[in-house]
Amino acid sequence: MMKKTLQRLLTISVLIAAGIKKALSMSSLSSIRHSSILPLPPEEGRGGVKQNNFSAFSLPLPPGEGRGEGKNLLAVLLIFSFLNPVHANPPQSPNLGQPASPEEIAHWDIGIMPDGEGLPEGKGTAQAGKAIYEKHCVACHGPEGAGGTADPLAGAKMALTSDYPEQTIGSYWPYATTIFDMTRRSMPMTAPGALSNNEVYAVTAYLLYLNNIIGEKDEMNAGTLPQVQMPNRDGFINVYELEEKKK
Amino acid sequence: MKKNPHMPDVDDLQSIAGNGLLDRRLFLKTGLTFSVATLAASAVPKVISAKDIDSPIDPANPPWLHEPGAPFSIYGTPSKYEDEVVRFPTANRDVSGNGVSWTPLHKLEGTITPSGLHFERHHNGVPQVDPAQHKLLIHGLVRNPSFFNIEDLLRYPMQSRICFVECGGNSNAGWNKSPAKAEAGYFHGLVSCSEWTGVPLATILNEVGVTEKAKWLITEGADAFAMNISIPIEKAMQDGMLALYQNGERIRPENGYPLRLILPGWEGVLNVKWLRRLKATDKPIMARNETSRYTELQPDGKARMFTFVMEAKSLITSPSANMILKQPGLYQITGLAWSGRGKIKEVEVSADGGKSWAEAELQEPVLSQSLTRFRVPWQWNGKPAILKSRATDETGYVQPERDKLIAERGRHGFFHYNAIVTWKIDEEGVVNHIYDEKDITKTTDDISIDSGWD
Repeated sequence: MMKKTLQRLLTISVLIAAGIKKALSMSSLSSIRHSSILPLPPEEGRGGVKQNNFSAFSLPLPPGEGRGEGKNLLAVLLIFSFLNPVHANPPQSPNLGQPASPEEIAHWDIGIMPDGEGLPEGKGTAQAGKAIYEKHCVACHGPEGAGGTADPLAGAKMALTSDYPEQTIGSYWPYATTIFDMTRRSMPMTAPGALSNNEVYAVTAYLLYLNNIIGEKDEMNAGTLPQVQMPNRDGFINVYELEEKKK
Repeated sequence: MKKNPHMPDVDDLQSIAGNGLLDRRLFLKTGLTFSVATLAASAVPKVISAKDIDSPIDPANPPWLHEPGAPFSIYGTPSKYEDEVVRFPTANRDVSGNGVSWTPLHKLEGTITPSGLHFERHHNGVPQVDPAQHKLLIHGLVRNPSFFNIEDLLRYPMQSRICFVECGGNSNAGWNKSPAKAEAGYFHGLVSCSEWTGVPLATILNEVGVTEKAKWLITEGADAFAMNISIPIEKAMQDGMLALYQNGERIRPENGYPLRLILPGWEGVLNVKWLRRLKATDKPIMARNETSRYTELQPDGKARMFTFVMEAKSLITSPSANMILKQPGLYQITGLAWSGRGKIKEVEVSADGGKSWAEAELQEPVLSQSLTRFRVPWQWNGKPAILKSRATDETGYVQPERDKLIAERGRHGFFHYNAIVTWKIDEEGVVNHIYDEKDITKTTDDISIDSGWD
């Protein structure tokens, strides 16, 4: 049974190799991606023998099962993948993704990295941020960042080592950029995304100021925000990294 | 209790651990399935004891025997008599969509959680995503940044796998000084188990050509929180799934329709719902949910971060908190065990507070990173009993006692509570949650350290 399957798969592999060769002779990336010679899934994508063959070909192998057969198949695929000098999309995959342009990506990507990558133009100070906080944030977070139903953001008095540790931006958060990232994407809860970049910079500055990390007039912008040193920057143990090292 | 002619005399049953625990194979050997079910049913919650549902109907001639039944339905729902088998929501009072709802584990059997009872954790409500308007963008350190729409993803070769999803904050009331008094599912039920079907993430990542520099994937959901979090690319390639189906049907909105990430065995928060973006990077984004929350403060003031794997855990679901055993006799103790590191190897049950342990029967098939049902027969003699279960997974990891867990981690980590759960049964048959024998009489100084789900 296994032998038969393997034989069938080998036959398909040879067909694919032929397909790649032909595609290569056309020598363009797009012809490889869209060549009709490559085994594309049936239009309906469900049921049928054809689909079964196709599935057997493309699926990564489940761990611990069908290993022997899989290795042979993988070996065959690996050999043929070397025939493909441009390393285009894997030929054994449907390749139905549509290219995303840099403009489209910029429009989608709202994430802010800890080194400041992704921070937009704009600026704000705690002085300006106070009014925005009191309009949009105070209902849940309480006056001056504490006493509401949401996470306390400032005003920690009890140390992290105490019986009643208070985990606020000032006492706990390792990166200032996180405040900007979260506020812009998630806040305020009633109208997330409603704040302008200047408003987010200003609220971020106000929260840092409430935690005695920056001054009331210090301007937060794409240059200054990633420079802010958070008091608990080194307060974390990267458990995943430790476990990976042990392996 | 009426004498059951099919049942061996209880005096003939050999205990294999203290206080009446019997050989796990007893029910299998003697084929007492029916009798056992009858007995186990007497361990019902207080609210629906058998005498409350007594009715004047002649069971030999019930009305449903003599009148046509309801017509066909286009989508089935549970019996109206099961209307107490529901999720238990606890949400922020200012933001109704921010909170959790708990799976009623104590009212369920088997290992698969019905989709409508799968636990929920939302940060700002359940979005009603139109699949025709939804796209997944994969970009960053990839050769071919691409959009994938749902219709196209449905054309990809798929795989199915059964696995649990558990919130990192499940069972967090265990860190409190006093034992929580809720039903088992309503403080351990942020875990559910489904068959997920979808496209292996590796298929798509290979297509877009992740570069060698890429070590992390920053994920983002399409909810009003735009929830984002970083996952190691290694895990994504190993067994990550772009899930489209749950238990055979398209994923429910509250579980991430039309597309969610499944990372078997890892914290629920990483299994991002309503998935819309994956950005390959060389470092994590340090999002709020991997810094401010989902990190665990330790007694020395340092916090554990990127604690992805859910460690082995178990609990007895019947009998469990707030149930009543109506009379002494033969019962089946049953519960669930699971481990994010692989298969459950063994579950032991104690009826004498941990002095002696009996091996429980594991329901086949035992699947990796899945809820595993265990069962063991027990002869309750009507005297106080203290029940515990203890799971061991295939890596040899043993579920810790609460004292040990707290000695190691302190009480302020909030997440990753997986200690042994203890139920005390008193002479009346009432089941109570305790930490240890002393707790039952101790006056409560219940200062909750549960800081909520904001």
